[in-house]
Amino acid sequence: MCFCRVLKFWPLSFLWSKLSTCEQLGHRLQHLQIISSNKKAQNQNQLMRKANIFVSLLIDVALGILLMSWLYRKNRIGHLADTLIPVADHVAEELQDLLQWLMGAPAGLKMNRALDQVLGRFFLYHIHLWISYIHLLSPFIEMILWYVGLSACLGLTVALCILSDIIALLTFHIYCFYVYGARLYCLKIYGLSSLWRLFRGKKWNVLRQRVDSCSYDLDQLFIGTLLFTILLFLLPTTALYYLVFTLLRLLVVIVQGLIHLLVDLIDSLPLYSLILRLCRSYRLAAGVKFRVLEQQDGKPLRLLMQINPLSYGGVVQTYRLPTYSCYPRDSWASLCKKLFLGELIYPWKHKGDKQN
Amino acid sequence: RWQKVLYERQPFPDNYVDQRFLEELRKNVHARQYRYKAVVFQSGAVVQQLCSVCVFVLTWWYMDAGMLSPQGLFGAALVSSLLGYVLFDAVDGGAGRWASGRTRWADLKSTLVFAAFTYGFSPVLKTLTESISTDTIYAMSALMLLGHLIFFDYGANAAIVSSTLSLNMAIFASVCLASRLPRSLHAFVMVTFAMQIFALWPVLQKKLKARTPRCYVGVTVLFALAALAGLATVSSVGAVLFASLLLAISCLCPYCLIRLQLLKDNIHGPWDEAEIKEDLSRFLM
Repeated sequence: MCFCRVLKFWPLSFLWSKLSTCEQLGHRLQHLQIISSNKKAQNQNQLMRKANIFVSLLIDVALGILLMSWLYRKNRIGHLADTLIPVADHVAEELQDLLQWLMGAPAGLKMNRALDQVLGRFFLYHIHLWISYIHLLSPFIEMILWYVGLSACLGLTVALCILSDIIALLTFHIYCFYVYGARLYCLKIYGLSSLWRLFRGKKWNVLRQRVDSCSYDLDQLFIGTLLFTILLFLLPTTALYYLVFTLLRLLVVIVQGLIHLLVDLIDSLPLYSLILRLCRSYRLAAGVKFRVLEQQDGKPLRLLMQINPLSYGGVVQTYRLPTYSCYPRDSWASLCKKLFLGELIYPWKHKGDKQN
Repeated sequence: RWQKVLYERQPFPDNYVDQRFLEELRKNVHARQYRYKAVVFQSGAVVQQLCSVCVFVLTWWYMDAGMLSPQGLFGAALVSSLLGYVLFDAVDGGAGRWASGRTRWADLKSTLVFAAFTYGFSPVLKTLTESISTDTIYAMSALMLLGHLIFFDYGANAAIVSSTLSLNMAIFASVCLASRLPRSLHAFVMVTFAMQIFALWPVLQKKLKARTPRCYVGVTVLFALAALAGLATVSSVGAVLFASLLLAISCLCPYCLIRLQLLKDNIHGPWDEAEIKEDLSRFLM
């Protein structure tokens, strides 16, 4: 209990909310609490829920131990650690090649050479820092992986979450680049739209939330037009960098999302109910059906009552376990709009997140 | 007797009209009578703007060809700006400055701010359009200068007039063209010159036109002659075409306008939309 309280303090809670492993662990802890409570189940639903959680946990831990035994046999952890550093290096090299391509004339597009060089060198320096950081960590990787692999005994879902977190940590530089590119692009778009209004002699009226005409001074007009021209001609360069880094970031997000979907699936599947439906289908009833046994004149009607079991889809739908489900935050239209304007996107929303 | 109402049963058919039909028709009530000399005088504004654009493009041409040095242009522009500044106040004896409340110190400040800004940004301006092809630049500048001429405030009270937009388009065109010059000093001088000829010159001319019409006519003619002479050194065909354009605008178009006024055929009557004649601003709080 007090462990959970500790987690609420600010730096820890921020870190904890970013790592999906901790979310999953917290979720499982909740499940354990439900199972180990002394209250008897009141009705069918609660009983089924408890049973489902128990079986799901069991299967999860079993699969996790299976995975662990497979990993630790034949020194696979060592092999994994050995291939991790070269893979990270390879990714960094690919990024460097990409940046060199952007600094040239990518796809025949017209880039402003000076700005191109500046941005390209800035990002190249970051990659250089990242490679040094990875190389610094390389002696410790095997040990870290060995200990982290032990936690797979807590369940397959935990192992998958750890995998997702490792991916997030390894592609942290892509995330950084995306944030830089998006902020620069957003600033430019904002400045351009404001100066375009100045170009036409109009102004945004904050009080009435509309565009009004405005008589500017001569020096305001002049400096505004100069800045507008500069921003306009530098737009293709910034837009290209933003596009490239956004695509990379979306790729990483999609991979992570797939892993989370898998975790969700394992979490919420009501295995006990499914097994029950398979073996003792009369326990899950969705109604009764009658069969006529005998129908003769003068004698009473004899009917046989049979239980109509729930269909498999119905079983899953009724007895699904609640998860801390992450579903997409934005609709497609608003996502496209945010991408176009350069606002930072956080595609997945967790149930506990505050609405903003 | 027939009455012009439809809600009473009359022995006439519904579409009957008597001899008072269209008695209240008035023709060309608001038509203006133009005088040739006045229209020619007012067309001087259009002629001046055309000459400004021509002089600006010529200056750019000379600088591109290396015949004009940036220092020379800067010096000449500075001297003429100072002359114009003195003339601006001398024309109405300081009344306009007193009415608008703008001090000389504010003028000096804005000049310094704008000069520093342009000078600081001139290296950026120089490399702005390096990777864009020359034809695109020429097309864009031509479009922008045309837009400048269309949206300029010649004194007409029309909805299309927008002095902000026309000035901005001219500055945009000047930045496009200036980025093609050899060094950043050229770019700085070009943009400054554009500012003077597109922003400050029309202001001075408006004042001259209001105060001293004869002087204004003289200045317009001199300006046009200077532009033609400059254009003749570059291309004689262009000079001939430009001269004919100026003559058409200043002499032919007024004549056409006056002739076409005779063909005006506006009809007015009690069927027109009601117009509010009194001043409603007393209802505004």
